[in-house]
Amino acid sequence: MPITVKNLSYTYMPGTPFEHQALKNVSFEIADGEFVGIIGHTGSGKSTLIQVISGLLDGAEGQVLINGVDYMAKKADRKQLRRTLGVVFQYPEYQLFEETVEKDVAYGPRKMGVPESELAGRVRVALEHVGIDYELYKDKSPFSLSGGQKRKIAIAGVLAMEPSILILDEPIAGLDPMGRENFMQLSRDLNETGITILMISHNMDNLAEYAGRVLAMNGGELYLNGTPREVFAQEEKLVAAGLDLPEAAKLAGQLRERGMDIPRGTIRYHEILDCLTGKLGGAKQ
Amino acid sequence: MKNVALGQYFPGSSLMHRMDPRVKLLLTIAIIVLIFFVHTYWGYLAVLAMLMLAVACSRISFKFVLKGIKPMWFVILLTFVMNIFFLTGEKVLWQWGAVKIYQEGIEKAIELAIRLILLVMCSTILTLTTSPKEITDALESLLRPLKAVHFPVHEMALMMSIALRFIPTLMEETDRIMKAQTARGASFDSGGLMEKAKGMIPILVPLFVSAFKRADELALAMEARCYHGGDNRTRMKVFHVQLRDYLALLLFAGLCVFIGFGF
Amino acid sequence: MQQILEAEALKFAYISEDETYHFALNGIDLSIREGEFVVILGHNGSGKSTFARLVNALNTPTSGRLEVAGMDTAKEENQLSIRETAGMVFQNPDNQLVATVVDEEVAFGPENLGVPREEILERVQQSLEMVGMEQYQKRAPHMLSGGQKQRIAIASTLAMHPKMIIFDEATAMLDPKGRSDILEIIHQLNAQGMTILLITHFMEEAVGADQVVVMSNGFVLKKGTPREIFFDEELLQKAELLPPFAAQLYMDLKKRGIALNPALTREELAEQLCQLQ
Repeated sequence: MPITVKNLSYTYMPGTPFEHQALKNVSFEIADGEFVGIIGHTGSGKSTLIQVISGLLDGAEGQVLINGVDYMAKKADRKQLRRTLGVVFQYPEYQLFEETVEKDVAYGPRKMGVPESELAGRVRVALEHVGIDYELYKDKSPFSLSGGQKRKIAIAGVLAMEPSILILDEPIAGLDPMGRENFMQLSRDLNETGITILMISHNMDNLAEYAGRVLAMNGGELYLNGTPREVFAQEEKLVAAGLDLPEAAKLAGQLRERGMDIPRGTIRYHEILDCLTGKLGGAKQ
Repeated sequence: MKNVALGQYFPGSSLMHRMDPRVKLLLTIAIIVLIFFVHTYWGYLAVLAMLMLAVACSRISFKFVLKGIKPMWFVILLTFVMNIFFLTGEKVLWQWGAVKIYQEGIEKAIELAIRLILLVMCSTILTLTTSPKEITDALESLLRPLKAVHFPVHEMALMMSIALRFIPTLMEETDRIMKAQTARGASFDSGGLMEKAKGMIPILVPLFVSAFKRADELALAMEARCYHGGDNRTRMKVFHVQLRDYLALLLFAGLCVFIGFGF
Repeated sequence: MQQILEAEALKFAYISEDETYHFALNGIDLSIREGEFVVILGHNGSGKSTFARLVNALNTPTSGRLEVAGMDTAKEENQLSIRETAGMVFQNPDNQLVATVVDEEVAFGPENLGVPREEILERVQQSLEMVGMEQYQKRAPHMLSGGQKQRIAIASTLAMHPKMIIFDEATAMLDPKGRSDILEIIHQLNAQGMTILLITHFMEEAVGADQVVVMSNGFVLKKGTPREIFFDEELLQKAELLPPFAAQLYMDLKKRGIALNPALTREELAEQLCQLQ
């Protein structure tokens, strides 16, 4: 479902000595089925942004339309918003609370009013998505599992609500290298089933590889907005906002400085690999 | 959530901040006791003047101190209203059926409200200018004689200061868990009492789990930094009663005399 | 140079309620010289954090031997001196801060050691300067950023005057800026002679190490220099790790017939590539 954000501003604790404007007049649009990465250093407003979009922070100025509906309006149907939009917070493993994996994953859909007869099926599909065996794990206590498994269960709990928009706040923080790769692959699979994805991440390599668009936040403002290629080509601007570049782009920059002709939009691993192979006369595989 | 003034330290280096926390703590208790001996408006005015002087010496804006009273407004208002309606006296001011309002009731209500406001103001000034750690250190120091009867003074003080240290962390955590569960369709303000209590489970369970995890990790971290109880421990902070403390005590003595003379 | 850590056939098991043993460490042999920069790599659950706890005498070995600066960690009377010698910085910045003011936080360790007051003040000042946080002395730790909190945690360890610091995934919860700040401090400390034991699953953090130890399922799969580790594809696969960007690119270019000298950093790679052209 498309998301339209118009002139969005948000201020924490207005009228106190701690007053802080976290969002300043942010506007953008996201089309149905996009995979959008959100970057920005700590305190740039990215977490506030997704919380306002998700309807979890009240009192913002401006407009957020999800599929044309303004859920910030007074009599908006928040339940419909929850059905549409799933949110995975940072370290989601800390939100598990039920006695069994099955009950925990079913919590969201049950709250949405999904009939009991459909719940087991939803839980099974959601667990399969994250690579957890339903039969083996459904009756286990989520607290007896490892950290990585807990996170998968928590994510399954959101997927079981079958959202058409999935918002993720640094979902790969704390995972080991394989865990990170597997998770990014899962996001891509979900995206390919038609789910719109908004993902906050500090990992530029992942976003260069997987995202179709990148929004960069800086000081509460939308700083850059474009395809990964467009955004990561603006090296000076990114550095000025305290942001990193993908490794491939960094190497491309270093090679350009040394006089090698590497095109400016080289941001992905296989792109720099192919480019170098071509230039140095290696055999492509 | 971080802007609650009651029990929140406002860092600074003013005269009030630099006072010996033991003296501040004792004076706070003494003034609170004293407030109950005051019976005249002049007396209250004198106490207020002393507190205002303290605020001035703390370089914290008066507005901010009032903010500390804010969460108490409801209690103050409630006792005020209760007193008006339930205290009896001789002079009936107003009557409506069985409900009578007496002049004594109004006077008493006003007095109690003043007392409550002064009480809260007094403790707010203490907590704004004294870090929780200083308060617990002061308590530890003042209660040290109890060690002789095997009262675990050091352990109690450490427990208190750790509790204080983790309040903001746990508040942030609660906020985060609430939002996460809200996103999963939880609602915390609908339904009857039982419904509401049940609705808290998705917040309380994760909060407890994480609090236990934090406690475990903190215990490890403390051990790693050679914590082994209060024996053979030195302290970076030692208290010295200085000129400013004696002056404060002198002022308080003056206040006592003033009130003792019947004001 | 002298050994500061010596592990021999070190095993550690968690004992569950039904009294079965779950071995987290299955016989570790490792020695670390004073002043060395050692990185332990491994996937989640490989046993690397368990090892860190043993070094700090927070757990005692189930079997085998572990000595820190010549002191046996199994002996209770050594505990305090071991922890004083080998300080530890943990993963979660929030869960290792005890005090409500930064300077009191840093003073906590020396206070526990019974250091005289005058010296504590000196140590606090010095330690905060070493991590560049001296201007935050009177601040409340919970108002600081994750990276700043970890800097305070490092200062708190430094104030105990350790010879070695163990970083148990201390950068895992930080943003890139916080992580690079902490790494810079770690390298500075090492340059001043501090022995570093860094536990991480960010491969790039291991590139500058003297010794890299790869762990998996409680075993040491391989010990060696970064060059001996990061070009061993079979090893990395077995350990469920991915090589750093430059090493990966070097290996893939080699497969495509472009021969370079092994490179671990982008700079090394860029230098060579330009000469080739």
